[in-house]
Amino acid sequence: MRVLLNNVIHLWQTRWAFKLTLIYLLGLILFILLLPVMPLAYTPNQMDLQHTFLEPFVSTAHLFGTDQLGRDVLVNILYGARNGLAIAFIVMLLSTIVGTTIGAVAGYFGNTYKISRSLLLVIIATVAIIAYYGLYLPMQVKLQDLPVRVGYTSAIVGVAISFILWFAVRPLLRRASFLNKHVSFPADALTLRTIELVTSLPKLLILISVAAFAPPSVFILCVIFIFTYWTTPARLARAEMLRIKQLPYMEAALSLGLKHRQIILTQGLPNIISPVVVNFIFGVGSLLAIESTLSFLGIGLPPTFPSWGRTISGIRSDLSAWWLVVFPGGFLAITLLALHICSFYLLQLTQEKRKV
Amino acid sequence: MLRYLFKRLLLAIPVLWVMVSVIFILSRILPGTFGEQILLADEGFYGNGAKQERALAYQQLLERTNQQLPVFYVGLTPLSESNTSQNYSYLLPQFTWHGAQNQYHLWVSALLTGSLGESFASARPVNAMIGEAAANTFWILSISMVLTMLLALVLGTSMVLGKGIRLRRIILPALIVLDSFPFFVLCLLMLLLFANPDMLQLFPAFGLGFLAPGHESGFLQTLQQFPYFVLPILCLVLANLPYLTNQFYTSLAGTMQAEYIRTAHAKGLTPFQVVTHHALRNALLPVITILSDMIPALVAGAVVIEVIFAIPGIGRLLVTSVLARDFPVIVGIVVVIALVKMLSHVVADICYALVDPRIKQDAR
Amino acid sequence: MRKIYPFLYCFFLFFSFCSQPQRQPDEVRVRLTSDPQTLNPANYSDPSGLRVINLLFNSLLGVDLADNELKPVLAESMPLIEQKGATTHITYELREAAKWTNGSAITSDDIAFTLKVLKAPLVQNEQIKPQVAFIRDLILDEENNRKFTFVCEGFTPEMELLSGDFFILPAYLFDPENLLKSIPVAAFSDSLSKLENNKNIKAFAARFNTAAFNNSGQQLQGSAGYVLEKWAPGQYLTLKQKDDWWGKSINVPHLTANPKRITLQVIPENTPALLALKNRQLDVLEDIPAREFDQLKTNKALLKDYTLFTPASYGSVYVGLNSRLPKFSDKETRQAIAHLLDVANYIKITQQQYATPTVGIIPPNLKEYYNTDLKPYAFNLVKAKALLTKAGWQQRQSGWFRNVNGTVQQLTIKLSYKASNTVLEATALIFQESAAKLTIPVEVEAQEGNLFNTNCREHNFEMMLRTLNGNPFAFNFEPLLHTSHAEKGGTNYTGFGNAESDALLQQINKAGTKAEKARLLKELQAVMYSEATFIPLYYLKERLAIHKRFGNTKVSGLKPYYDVSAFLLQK
Repeated sequence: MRVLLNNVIHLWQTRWAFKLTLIYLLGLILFILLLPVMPLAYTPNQMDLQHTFLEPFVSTAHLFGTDQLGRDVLVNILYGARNGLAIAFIVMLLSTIVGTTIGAVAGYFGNTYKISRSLLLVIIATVAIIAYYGLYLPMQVKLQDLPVRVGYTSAIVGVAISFILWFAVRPLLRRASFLNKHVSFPADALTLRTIELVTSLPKLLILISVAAFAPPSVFILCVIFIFTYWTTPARLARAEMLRIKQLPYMEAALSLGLKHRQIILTQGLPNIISPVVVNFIFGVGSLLAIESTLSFLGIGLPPTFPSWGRTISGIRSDLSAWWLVVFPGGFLAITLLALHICSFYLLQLTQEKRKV
Repeated sequence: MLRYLFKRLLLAIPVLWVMVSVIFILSRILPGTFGEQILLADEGFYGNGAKQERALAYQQLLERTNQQLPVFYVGLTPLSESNTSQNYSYLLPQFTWHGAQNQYHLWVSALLTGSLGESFASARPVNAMIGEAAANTFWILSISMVLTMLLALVLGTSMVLGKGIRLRRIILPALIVLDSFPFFVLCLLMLLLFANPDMLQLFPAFGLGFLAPGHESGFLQTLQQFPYFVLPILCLVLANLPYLTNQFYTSLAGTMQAEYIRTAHAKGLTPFQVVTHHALRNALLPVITILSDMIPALVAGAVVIEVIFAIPGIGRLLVTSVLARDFPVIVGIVVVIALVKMLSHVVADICYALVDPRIKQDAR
Repeated sequence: MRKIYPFLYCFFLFFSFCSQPQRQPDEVRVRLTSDPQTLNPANYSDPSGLRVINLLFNSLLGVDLADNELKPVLAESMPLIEQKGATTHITYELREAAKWTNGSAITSDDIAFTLKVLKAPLVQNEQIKPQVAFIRDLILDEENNRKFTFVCEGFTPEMELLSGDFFILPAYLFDPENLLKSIPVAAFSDSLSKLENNKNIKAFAARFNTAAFNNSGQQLQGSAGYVLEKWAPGQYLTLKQKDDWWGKSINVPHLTANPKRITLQVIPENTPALLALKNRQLDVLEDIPAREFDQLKTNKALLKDYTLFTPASYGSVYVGLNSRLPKFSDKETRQAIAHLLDVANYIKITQQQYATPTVGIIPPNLKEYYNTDLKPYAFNLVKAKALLTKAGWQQRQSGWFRNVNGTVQQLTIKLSYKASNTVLEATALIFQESAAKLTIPVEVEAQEGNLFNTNCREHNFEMMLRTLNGNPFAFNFEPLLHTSHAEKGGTNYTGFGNAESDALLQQINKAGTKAEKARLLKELQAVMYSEATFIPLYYLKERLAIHKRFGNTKVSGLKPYYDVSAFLLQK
């Protein structure tokens, strides 16, 4: 850890680009955190109906101009930065962690990982129980407007049955010799098929389906994005695992008595970091402005949620309002550039370290 | 190799069947049915059709399109006021058997004869509709993919070669700026720049050409359509270039630091030879993954392209049929995407094997 | 230097595409926002389809956009309407000159065939079926095979319009084997279950429910002046003028088929459509966004070739309050909310002044029926405050509270509208800010189209924004405002009405003279105004551009805002 810190300090002293981007990113984060206490003239949803589509640098009241409802572009950019970065980072972080884990495990163990039949049976039964009590019944309650009590009861019953399965039934099953035999668990095939299924469902279809149940909230949107974004890191991790599994040092590591987990963590993961990080940063970039494309497709987000996408999509009311695209787009570009440069140097650092 | 390929394809069939079934059942979870708007009289200054008449007509539509049938062979009895208010019988799942008269059975039997059914809205065979729409999307997507790939390769390799550092300082930021344009803004910008009499009137603004009575020979028609494809393809290339180039570049830059590349350098090979003979192969691995993953995302991107440039394609067909709940078309499109996806994964696996011979032994 | 050449080649290749397609002067090119789902005259479901079918088929009556009046098309004259007890008899006579494409005359048999197709079970006719359900039987005149009488149930003022509104289908082309001939029309009005097993109907349905009857130019040939030449799905539909159309031989100004060829281009987005207009690739563009329209007004090059029109349309935006909810059950609260609607700013921001505020449901341009004694609700915080206090609400630090059935309830509003409609979204957001000035929390919710409609139908809303399309023909507001339509699933979403207003609505339908009708309609506007459950905000002005080489464009406020078949080339 100290080595890393020293390296960062070294970078800071030698590379002016790194210094600049780090200052920018830290400044941005500080700014975002201080946003609630800052003395801004407007709130992001405050309208000035006398001055709609005000051009920038004309009025001192609205330095960056206003949008179709007279909302201040500058204030919206600041709040949009906060909301957008929060969503993008959380979504990308979670989906990258989930995706890389699943992909690495699938790629490493392949289709030959052995588990006992009793365990397999219990796992399948648990999945079915959760699907019925945790998904189907609550859905029915929501759709048919039944009392909430029904939903709670089913959830409790579901958890109770799963508990019984794991702690009472499973030990019993172990005694039967037939169920104690080991079968190979097709982790890789299962993961691949799931990825194929998820990626064949167009994101648009999922979004419209969910919108047909309830108006999309920020939370639902995040869940959908995590559900659809985890596949790329998973594929990347799996492919890399497949490759390094063949390398001679894996056998050496195994013969040295290292555990599977250690091998994956120490040998596998460092190799996949660089494509995953690139994917991460581009994911952040695409999420930051995705709302504008969503609203283009007619999927409404809460219209009171300030975001860069909301400001950008104002261009559809008036194509000559260039400032609605240039300012948020510019900020987006600078932020992305900073993230890229930062990650570039940090990656270089890790790669140099590995060589040593 | 051939045996592996054959095995892989053979294995794909049951998997595809499971996937298709899941897609079919998932699609029916979409709330709403086709033709629901019959129930909704046009709001206006007079009524057209009483409520009962509308309900009857709607019922007739459901029966004509088989939408009133149960979705699957087995169904769960839905919850209702009666079995939740007093007792707890709902806690035990109650299955009902529907027999062969269900939507899934009818659909699969039609599928086995090669038919994806007929559109509810226009009674046209879904195969024909998808075929028509997919042709345009296919050309736009594949041409733009190939162009993007080539450009990304050229840019990526030139950035790691010799004077690349200086080049990189210009290209990478430029790509990131390009990437920070939302896709639809990029398309609008292209339109406003290159199809606008006030700016540059280079390309037609929309569509795929007009009816030209008289000369309708195949080749001439295609040639005439060419200008209509330029802007959409340009937009897709510009939109996908940053991501691909970056992935390619980082992957290449990573391999360039490996031991064997040093050895290659030490052998006295020129930097160009080192890249093309040694580094490129390894760097291609993640790119293959990304490419095969990008196909459905491209279809989503195609929606924006097709809406803005008014090109009939699979994305627009999907949106209109989802909004109208034209289930046979929705399922048909998703099945086709799944099929393409499946094939692309097979191709990707083969590519892995070709690029990295060590994987070949792992004939799963 | 070597590297320059490929770039040069690319450059030239790039510029070789500069050519713009040449235009034929006698072809009119208009825009459709979406591909028609079907062109079946018995089962069309979207406005795009209706526009095309209107050029292929005729109905008995039609609207002449030159003066917005209902005129006979296939009928010789306006029908004779007699009320006989519980039934109404509507008698028509067909024009003698009216011919099908093959030259055979249109007779009462075709009318009978059309009714059978529209009413039959198993056949794709569900979209139109409910509209003709009121016609129970058809009586053919024994001497004159062009004269016939519809026997209809009950009486409503729109019966005249509806009886002439459906497209007449050619029996010779749609049913060459005369499968439906043997079954009487009245049989289709009784219980249909008997007919479902009828062999002939099954055979007809098998033939009729095919793609050919939805998109083929061979099958879809009606009595109007055009035939479908080509339909490239998702791109364009081309219609060709018939060589010897019967409408030309009789000199009736509202029966026209002037352009040689009409192309309907499918362009979903506004931006490329506007660019196409600027490129002179479109001759007509309607529904131009307000701000773009203002910019076109200053575009001199464009104004040389195009004329811009802003006819007052019959489209309006209204606010509906769910009067079934306890918090909105009293008049004063609803009126207070009406005073929070900043209509002047809605019109300024969302329509760039291309709209007229209205006091009620009658469009202001219908001067004889519009109630000029009333003033539209104006944004007024003081009045709103006073009304809320009068209704028993108390203002506290965090908002307005009232005791309802023993529990203290806060005045909160959830405002829903159809997602992706930017006009309604802006309106909702401005309302949210106005209400915030009175510390009333408003939650704005954009709902997907289907979900929004279902919620309205199931009374699952508090306050909503909707659009409404009217017309000057019939003023039967019973479906919208009568309490008999207020149950779940009915069209009276807001729950407007009481015994008095119900009686008033019925009186309007029975009104004998124009003066009486005007008096009653003005009374209705006053009632709706004071109830403030159903609050129309403004009537829109349509914004369209038409190429100057065409005359006789018949620009009107009624959809589709111009009559493309009437366009005449000007010298």
